[in-house]
Amino acid sequence: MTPELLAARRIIRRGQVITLLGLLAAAGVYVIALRYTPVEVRQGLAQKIFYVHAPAAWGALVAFAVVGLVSILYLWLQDERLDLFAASSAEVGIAFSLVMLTTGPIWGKTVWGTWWTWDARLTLTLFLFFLFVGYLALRAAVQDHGERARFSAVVGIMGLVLVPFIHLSVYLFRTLHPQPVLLKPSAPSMPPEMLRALLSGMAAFTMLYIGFVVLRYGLARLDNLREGAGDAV
Amino acid sequence: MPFETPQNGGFLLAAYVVAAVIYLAYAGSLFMRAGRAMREAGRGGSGAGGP
Repeated sequence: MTPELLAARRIIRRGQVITLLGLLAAAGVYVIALRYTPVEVRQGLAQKIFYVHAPAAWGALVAFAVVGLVSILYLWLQDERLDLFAASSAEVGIAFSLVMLTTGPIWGKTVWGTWWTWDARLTLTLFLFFLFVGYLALRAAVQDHGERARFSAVVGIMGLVLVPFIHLSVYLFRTLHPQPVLLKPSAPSMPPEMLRALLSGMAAFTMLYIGFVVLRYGLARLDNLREGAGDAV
Repeated sequence: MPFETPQNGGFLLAAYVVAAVIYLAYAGSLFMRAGRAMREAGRGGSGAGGP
């Protein structure tokens, strides 16, 4: 067995362990949110969707920001591993986006009275999701590995440009979406029990993101070896 | 008129179930792909699908 193959297997094993720990931590967040946080008087139990929705949004934005940053590094260093890592983070970002884009409307239906509204935050987030679906489609469509890596790096960097706009959209535009309660210049605007649950969620889903990306990256490395020299994932 | 807290536990349940299904399905798919790829790599054959 070659050293490259052993390294890929080791990365996969690490990814599996971190993913399992992340899933356990996520289950713990469910318990904390359901049992140990107060019911918000105006929104009712649906407010607790926030403890799953906000970490999913965090995970998605981190994933897409990582794609952009690693893509910049790829264009600079031309290291194929960076391209594989960016592609892995994009796929994981799609999974987190799906959670964000499904739990958000469920909350919106009961609190806003509508599943969806074309406000700036929601619309930009949907565009970002489609951009990275396009990123993966592009990778599937281009056969030459050098071109695939270069083209997708450019798309990944475009996505990175959108990320700060999405975070700041609640300040820049008139929007229905709630203002940030955590990532803002002033102190967190939440009761301590709710803040603890939110921070636990952020930590757990960040661990899950890391586990998914490491596991996916190991798989990409293994597949790269399978395709042999020159034929990347 | 006194304010009544809305009874919307069903929405909470739906959101938590949807999120769990997506995360578990993706984790399951990664574990299955990893298992298959490592078995095939061990045999010296072909393996995982790339992103």
